[in-house]
Amino acid sequence: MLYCTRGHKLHCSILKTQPLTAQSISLVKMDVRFKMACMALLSIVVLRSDTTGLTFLSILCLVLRISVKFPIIEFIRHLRYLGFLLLIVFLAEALNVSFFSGGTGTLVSIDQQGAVEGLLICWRLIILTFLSILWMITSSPSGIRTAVEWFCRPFPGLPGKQVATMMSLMVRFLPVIVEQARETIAAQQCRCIQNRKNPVYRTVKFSIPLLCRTLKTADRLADAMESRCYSPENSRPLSLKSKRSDWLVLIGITGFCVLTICM
Amino acid sequence: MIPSSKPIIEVSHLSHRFSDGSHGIDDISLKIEKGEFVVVAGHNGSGKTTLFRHLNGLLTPNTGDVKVDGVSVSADVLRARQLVGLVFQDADSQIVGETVYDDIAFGPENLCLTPAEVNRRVTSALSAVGLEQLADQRPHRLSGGEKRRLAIAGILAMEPQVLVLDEPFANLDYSGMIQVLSQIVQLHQAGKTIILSTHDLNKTMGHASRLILMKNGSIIKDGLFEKVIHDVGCVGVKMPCTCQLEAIYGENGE
Repeated sequence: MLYCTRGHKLHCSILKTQPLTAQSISLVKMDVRFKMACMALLSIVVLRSDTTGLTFLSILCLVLRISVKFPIIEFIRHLRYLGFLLLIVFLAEALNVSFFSGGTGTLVSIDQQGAVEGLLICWRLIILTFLSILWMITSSPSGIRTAVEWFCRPFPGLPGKQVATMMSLMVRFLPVIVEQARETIAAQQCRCIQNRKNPVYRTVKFSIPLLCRTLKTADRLADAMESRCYSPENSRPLSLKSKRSDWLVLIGITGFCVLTICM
Repeated sequence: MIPSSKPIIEVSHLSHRFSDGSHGIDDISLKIEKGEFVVVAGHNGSGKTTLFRHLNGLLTPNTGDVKVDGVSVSADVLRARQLVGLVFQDADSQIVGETVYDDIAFGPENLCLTPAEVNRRVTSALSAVGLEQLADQRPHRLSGGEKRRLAIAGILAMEPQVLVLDEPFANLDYSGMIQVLSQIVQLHQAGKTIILSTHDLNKTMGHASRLILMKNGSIIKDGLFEKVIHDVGCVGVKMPCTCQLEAIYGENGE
């Protein structure tokens, strides 16, 4: 069974093929504000940790993976392109390029200290990506929107409701824009765009129609919202309720973070 | 048609000119009574959408006036938007919610109604269009017909008296078209005033009471559906098959 905050199926819509799903109702039911706070704390710790800290964080990720029954194979398959980024990051840190005087040649060698640094950066990125995806698949978009609106409330110049509406529209229209991009690509392929070798030409011919289409969609959206009496001051409820267990998790994560930084 | 003393919509000498100088609509006057089912037909660019946008206050007239239930739209736009619900041609760009439920709740929440009232209206609109089972579904996963019904539900939750539908059958397959048409007929039977534009008059025959033909931003014919239908050829709209057959048999004297 797959769950969301209303007890319905959840999925991570940014991923392409089979969506990643979460099967832990306890993490899904946790208040999104507390999940965001935990995420923020853990992200800070990830960036400040060395090998020992990262080992502790990896163990925490493993525990979360077991409790959520996170499909790790699917996770790896979906994010295989992240591997290229990690490889580039590692190589940029590890490789030492020396130029001979007079421009007669170059020598590429591996710097041991750079390699260790590169590995640590990749490790941090993997943990951050894992935690972010875990947060996304266990939180509904409306829950995230409401939590952002709640966090904005104490700050006077920050229009929380507008920010929440923008987030909501982004979630709604991302699939529409992706679909439009696919249609544009397909239409251009039908007319043999692939025969054009110049990537700049291809990029311009792809991006300008897509941009125009997106702007037209935005125009129509603005009209539709206006015709339905859009106002930033609406009565959308901030329906978030914290439980004792949410506080316990937050205290536990805070303790874990303090311990990890101190070690 | 249910006759009423005061028309629900009254358009007087309405003209609209776009920023590039071209005429959208030119000196249009018409009255629509409560409970009428009006079809507006005309070729692309004849001014149907521009006229509809004036009924909802999305456009401001250069000259003339639009009154909804006796009050000028420009005097109280919010009231006009509550009374006249506009369903756009492209349902995809009208749907703003992350889920079907959220989208229908968008309008009532903008009216700052209480959560209980929002919930009542959303539930009622969902059941009116038969989308109860899809309340938690993401809109981009719906079929074309379901999206169009969702767009109608989003407007119904505002509890308007008049439903204006711009090309509601465009880009729909047969089953989607039947679903949308039956929703519209049910809403008309429930007492709503229906104004819709279409190029295919076959679908609205037998349901609509009045037909308005538009050409180059002006109304050229306005009257009972059965009478005006014989003149649709002059605005570049295809005559329904039954009318064509009638015309042939009439000529042959059979």
